[in-house]
Amino acid sequence: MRISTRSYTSQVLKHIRVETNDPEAGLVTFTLKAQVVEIFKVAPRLVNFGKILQNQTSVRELVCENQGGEPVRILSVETKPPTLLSLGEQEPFVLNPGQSRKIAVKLSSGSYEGYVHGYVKIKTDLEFLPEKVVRVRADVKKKQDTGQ
Amino acid sequence: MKRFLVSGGILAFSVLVLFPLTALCAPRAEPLDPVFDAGEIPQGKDLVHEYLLKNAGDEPLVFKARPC
Repeated sequence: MRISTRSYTSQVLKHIRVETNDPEAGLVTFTLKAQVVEIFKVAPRLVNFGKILQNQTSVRELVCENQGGEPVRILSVETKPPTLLSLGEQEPFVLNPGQSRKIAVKLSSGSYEGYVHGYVKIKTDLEFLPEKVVRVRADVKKKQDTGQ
Repeated sequence: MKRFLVSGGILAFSVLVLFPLTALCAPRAEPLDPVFDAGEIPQGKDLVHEYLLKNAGDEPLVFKARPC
């Protein structure tokens, strides 16, 4: 059994059922358990800017935290699409054990209309977690014409 | 009467000898360590484990895994 733990932040519990022609046992179950430790944590896991008007900007913060025992090097932070999202800071940095740092994410709605999506990609030097992706979304509303 | 006794004898032989034999001729699935606890694992690392399913019977064991 092989399970990717990328999307897990706590306990993993998986079963595999094996159907057999054993007249007595019939069905055999194998179980795999583990406790996933989130060494590099980014919160929130999803940034929702909610409803925002056209040609408006809004800022949200991501908090990166090193919950492990070794320093974590943040190699790069990038956003997509660049026409919608930008960052307050893009320089690489190091998070020592127990240290956290905020990253400001700015959304510029421009002339978009409706639901918009993007992401922030944080690349690390961790062997098993080379990058973390935080999804970003917003609902861009058309500015009401007051008629004046 | 003699025919009845012969038929009865064959039936008794079938029940006492052949039935237990057919009951023994069957596959028997014996999982070895069916529960594996990997303990603490860093996020991102793949969890990999191999399980053993032994056929302790005397007929071929046919099986099909169904992840759930």
